[in-house]
Amino acid sequence: MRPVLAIAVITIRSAIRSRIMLCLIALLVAIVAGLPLTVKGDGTAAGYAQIVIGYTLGLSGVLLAMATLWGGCAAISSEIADKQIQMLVSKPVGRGQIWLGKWAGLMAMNALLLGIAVGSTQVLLKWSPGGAGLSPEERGKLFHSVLVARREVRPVLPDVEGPAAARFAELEKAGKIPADADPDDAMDMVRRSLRVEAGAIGPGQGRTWQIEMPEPPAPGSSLTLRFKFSAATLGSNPMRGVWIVGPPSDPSSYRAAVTNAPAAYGELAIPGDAVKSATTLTLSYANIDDTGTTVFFEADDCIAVMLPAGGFGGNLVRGALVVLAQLAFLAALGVTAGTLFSLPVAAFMSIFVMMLLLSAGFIQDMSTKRSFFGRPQQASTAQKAANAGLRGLYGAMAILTRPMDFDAPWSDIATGRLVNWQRVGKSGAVNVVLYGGLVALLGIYVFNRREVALPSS
Amino acid sequence: MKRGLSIFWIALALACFFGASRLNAPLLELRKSHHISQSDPLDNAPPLVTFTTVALGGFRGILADILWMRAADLQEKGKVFELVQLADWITKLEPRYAEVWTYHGWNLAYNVSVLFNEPADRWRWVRHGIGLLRDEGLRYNPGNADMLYQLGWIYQHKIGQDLDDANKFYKQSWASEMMRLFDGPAPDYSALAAAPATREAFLQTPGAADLVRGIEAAGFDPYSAELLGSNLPPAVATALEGSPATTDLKAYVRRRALAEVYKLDPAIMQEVDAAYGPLDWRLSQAHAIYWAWRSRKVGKGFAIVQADRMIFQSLFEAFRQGRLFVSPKTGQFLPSPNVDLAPRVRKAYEDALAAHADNETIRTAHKNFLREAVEMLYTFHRTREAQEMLTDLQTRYADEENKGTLEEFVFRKLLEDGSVDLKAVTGNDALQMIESHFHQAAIWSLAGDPERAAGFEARAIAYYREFRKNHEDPDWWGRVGVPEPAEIRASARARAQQDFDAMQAQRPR
Repeated sequence: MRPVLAIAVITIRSAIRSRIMLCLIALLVAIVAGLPLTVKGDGTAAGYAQIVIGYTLGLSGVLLAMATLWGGCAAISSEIADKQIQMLVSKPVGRGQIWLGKWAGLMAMNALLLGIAVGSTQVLLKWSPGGAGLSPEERGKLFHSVLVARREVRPVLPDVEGPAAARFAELEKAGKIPADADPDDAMDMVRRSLRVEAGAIGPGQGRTWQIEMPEPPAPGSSLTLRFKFSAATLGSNPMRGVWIVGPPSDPSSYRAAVTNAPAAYGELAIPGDAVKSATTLTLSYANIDDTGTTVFFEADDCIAVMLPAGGFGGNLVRGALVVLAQLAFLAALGVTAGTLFSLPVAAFMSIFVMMLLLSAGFIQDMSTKRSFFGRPQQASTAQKAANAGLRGLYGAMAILTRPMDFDAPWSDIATGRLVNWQRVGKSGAVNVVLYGGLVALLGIYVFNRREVALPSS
Repeated sequence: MKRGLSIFWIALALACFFGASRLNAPLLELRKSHHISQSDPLDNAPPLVTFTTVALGGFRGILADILWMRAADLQEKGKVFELVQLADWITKLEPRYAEVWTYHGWNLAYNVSVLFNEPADRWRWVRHGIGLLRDEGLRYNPGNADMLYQLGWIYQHKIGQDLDDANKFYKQSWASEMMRLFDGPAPDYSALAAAPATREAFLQTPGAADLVRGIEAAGFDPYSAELLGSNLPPAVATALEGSPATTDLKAYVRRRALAEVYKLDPAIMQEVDAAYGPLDWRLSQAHAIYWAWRSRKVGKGFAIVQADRMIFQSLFEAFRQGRLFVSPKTGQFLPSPNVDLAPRVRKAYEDALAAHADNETIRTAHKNFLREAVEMLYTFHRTREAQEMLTDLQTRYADEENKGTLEEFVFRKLLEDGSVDLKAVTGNDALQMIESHFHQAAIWSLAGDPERAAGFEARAIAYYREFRKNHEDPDWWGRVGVPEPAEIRASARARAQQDFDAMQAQRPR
């Protein structure tokens, strides 16, 4: 352990001496101190706080990620290039310990810089938007919806697969599916239409959703219902409805009349006492608008219940730990790339891998795409082969990238959503232990076998 | 030796930079004169924008695309807090594409505003849209006819019409702001011209330095437009009360706010007033006309047609509801018809017809104006003017629906309107109908014909009740309904008294 620590300390010292690191720290300070002065919010304190969290910490994270990759790539490759590595490997230190020491040094620097960025942002938010100039409403909105941690739970949407198959069979039997139509596309349209039907509420009608509660609300607390609907008519005029918490037939169920514009997110505070079941929250919406317009709660983000789940500071720390786990993987990737290649090649390769990880969402989408060239039934043999090849490639990449959590948590933190310990644990287990460990093993294996003091090197 | 060489290279580099900077302007001129640049260099741009547009070159389009996609994604998800910043960056990356500015201004004012339920939240986004075009877009594209027109469109359509449920809030907020700025319905052009043009000029006024110090000591910006408001901190109010420089300070602040905050040029406002006014500058229609007037001056081809349309449509709207009555009960601004504008609106239509003789839509709009003007002038007891308009209407558009005497025409039109589904009638139209009947009632009452007055009064009340019955939803009524009959009657009586006095004064003695 001591040799690892010693190498980590040397890495930190050399990083502090490096001009790149000094530039990085200067940039970080400029971002944390300067960005909040230049960004334009939406004119509200809550909006300003959200944009400061998102931009300051997001940009700091990107900067640290780039620096980690660069520092990791340089950690061993530059020592080999400068012939400094001979001094190190001739000492009674294992190659694995050198690798780990370099990685630990980088991570210590990352933890320090990330801590500075997160701490400064926290101080800035406590000190600046919560100042004396805020109206009680603005202050309430800021501390109720941004500088908090709220757990979000959503209703389970009805499974449309069975009904969709039955409807498709009916349509096919009735000859209503054109012969040249792609059956998968037609099935998708049937699914979509069933989802719309499932979320449609006609005039004078109502609909009920069940939401599984992770825990019963604390006495005296309140929940926030966040909802959005679209309307069957054009325009943005608010529409009237009633939310019912509990069985709609029970006259003692909590009821709240709301007026909400289509496509606008509405929020409704529900007293914790109104929730009678400890495990399931029954929510109903009645469409009482007198314009006779049908409303639609279509997608899964149309209804969400936000439960109080702690303070902003704790959420920020957990978010920082998630980012630190991501940086740990990048550090491992950089150090390993530096043991395999020279600095430019290692940097190029690491950035490529990072871009790939950042495109995980796109890769997942591509892996579910049925055809890349031509329509499936009409594709030529060459097109079919190309489709199969691409599907295989994207599928393999999706399997590799799916477990990794490379989404920055700042967007959730900026909107007051809880970053829970499970996410921190998962990020640590996947990014540090699993993928970071595999990359580390590869790096140490190669480093152990590599001749680092060749006369030509 | 090595040190001396370094100094030499640095000096050489500086000399090259200096030389390049001296050559830049003539080179740009040459590029312009030989038409070898795609666009003119940016004027008035801050260094960061100039640097970004030059340094990123063609890549700035890609960056703008990425930001644009992010903005669309966030808007879809209802996360709008970043949109002002993103719109700012996107437009700064493409500062000379007017379409980019007009799209983002429109998007903020129209699409983002309606993502909110509260009128105050919606209004903030409408202002963001106006601000983006007026304060930033026009700075980089001065004299861009389309951008001027789009800015006018927000005033004419988003604020001026009642398609958005929060339109009353917009109108009220804008009117309050303008009322504070002008200290009345319109600017006092002579006072503005006489106001100190610069801060230095104001500080020459006796007592100015002491007044500024007194206001600053209260933690208030002495040159802010807030100074024109009524809710001033007591220390500021005291400082203003006791100073001989107060009038000059307010005049300077007013002149400065007009130019720097609202980008309104008093000389152009005066031109607009001379051509179409006097307009009530608390109303959005006046501002739509102002920006359309500016667009017309720099536009070519279709830009002139659309600016003309905006002018006569806004004038028509000002005729229909361009008079503000401040309710003594609630302090609210109640818009009602400004029948005095009829000749100006008529002239605007005639000018547009003369300029675009083959444009059928302008002819149709003109006919509709004449029809409505006849009815409104008649109901507001302007019988002679109503008859004149009807004669013009019958001469130009000899349709079956326009035939008959004045009484026959108005009666037929009232019946037509009466057959309309009252659920579909807007609050503005209903208000106009009710107020005109109250106005008639008041005129006849002053003229000593209580019977006829009672008839008009009864029709006004009946119309109100019927309209109310068709709109039972209290939320809808609160947002776009009409004021209580007593308030409308008060407004109508005030106007009727003025009109009656004017009629009396004109009578031969």
